Amino acid sequence: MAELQDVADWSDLQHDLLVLVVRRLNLIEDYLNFGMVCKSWHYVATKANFNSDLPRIPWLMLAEEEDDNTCRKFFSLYNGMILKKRIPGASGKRCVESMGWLITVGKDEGKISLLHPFSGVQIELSHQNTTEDYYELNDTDEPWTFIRKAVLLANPSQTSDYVLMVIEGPNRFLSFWRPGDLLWTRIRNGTSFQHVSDVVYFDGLFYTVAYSGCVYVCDVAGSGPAKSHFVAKLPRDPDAECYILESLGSLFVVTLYYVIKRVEDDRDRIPLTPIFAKSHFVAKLPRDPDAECYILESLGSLFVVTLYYVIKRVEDDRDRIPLTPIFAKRS
Amino acid sequence: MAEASSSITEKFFLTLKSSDGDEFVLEESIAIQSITIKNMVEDGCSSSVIPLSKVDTETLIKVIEYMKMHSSTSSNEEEIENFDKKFVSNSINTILNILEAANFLDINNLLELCAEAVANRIKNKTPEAVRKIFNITSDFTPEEEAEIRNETPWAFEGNLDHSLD
Repeated sequence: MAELQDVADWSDLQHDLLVLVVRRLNLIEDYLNFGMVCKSWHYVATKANFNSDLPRIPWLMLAEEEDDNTCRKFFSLYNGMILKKRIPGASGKRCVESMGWLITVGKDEGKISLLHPFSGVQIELSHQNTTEDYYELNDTDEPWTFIRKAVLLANPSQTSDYVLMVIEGPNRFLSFWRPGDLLWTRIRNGTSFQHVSDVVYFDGLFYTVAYSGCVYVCDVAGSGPAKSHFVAKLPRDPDAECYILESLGSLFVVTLYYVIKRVEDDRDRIPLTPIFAKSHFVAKLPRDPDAECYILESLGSLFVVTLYYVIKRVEDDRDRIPLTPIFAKRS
Repeated sequence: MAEASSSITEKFFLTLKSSDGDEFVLEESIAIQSITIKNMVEDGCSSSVIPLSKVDTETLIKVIEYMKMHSSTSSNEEEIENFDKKFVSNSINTILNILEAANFLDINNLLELCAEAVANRIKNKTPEAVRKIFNITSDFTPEEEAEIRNETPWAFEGNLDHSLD
């Protein structure tokens, strides 16, 4: 205690020095704790002083808890912290995320909204029953499962000229909504897209991969009808799961093949079920010579992960053409 | 040739006086890492003693140590790096005094080093632990504190550090 008595009270540290310090707190939890210390520190911990441009590992939004339906919890993959945030607009809703916005689907009525978890701004979208053939195709009594994935083309905080693309319904169609639209518009390509596995926004276009292994590109920018075309057909295993994603300027299709799948049994919890037991040879996967294969373990399951480049970033020293579509000729 | 060698051997010295009245003689080439001192030299105010009324003796000694290490042509990068690492392990009170001095003397890299060191003492700490480390008494009324918690309705669960290390 004697030691502490010699120490000056640092709540009166100069404002510009406090700003220098607070700008170095890049984790939101540190930043907000800084603002709780005292009044002079609180005035420095403004939104403007937070370095929001840094790439950060996202927080995982956890499922709603039964006893507290005004708060939602988020799990930090970075340091294992759990953040509890009051989001009354998300109460009783199923949420998916894009560009920091939540796409909420009501558990009772199936109403769809865009909700910003921090500003609380809520934008009501056309109801899911305005998608094509809704009543013929959707006999579910779980309307909140209607949207599997949602991807924004632009951030509604910054522009009113955005598009929300979703994978919807039991047949997993691709449909989109724009501000002002009364109905959802389904993407068609002669035959309609069905069984869409994943969709991503990349370099001005939506790319999608279907369960068939087909990759398509869709252009919904501009006022004309949406255009889409076939990009590539990947070898496909009905047991595999397909994702399409962007990383460092390249676009990949990633397929997950389970070699060993963790099975949880409530009674005795047998953790591992070897799918291809009793042989040295385990499996032959469909294989593309252009693809890269990895084998890895996660949460008790063993996967083969295959990466197919859809668009590979190539850096050329002379003129740095950033993107080279690998499957351009075939489209 | 003669001119060149004389400019190498001829050293100018400045006298810096701390707020406690202690005087330190320092080579001008080292001292002018401080933009404040450099400006005084250029304005011709350095013929006598330079009073640094905002910097006490203990802090000035640290600042001079830092400037000597960072100007010396003999120190290599590794030496400087090790010096900086040891430097930021000074007590938080010392670091904050140096931070203020670096701001007053306008020594940018020292300012950055100290700001980073202060931020590192705050990271992963609860507000209560930060208050103890910085000897701050919360000046929020209970109503204000409730209001802040309400306008930023956040709470964390996890391994926040309550210690004062």
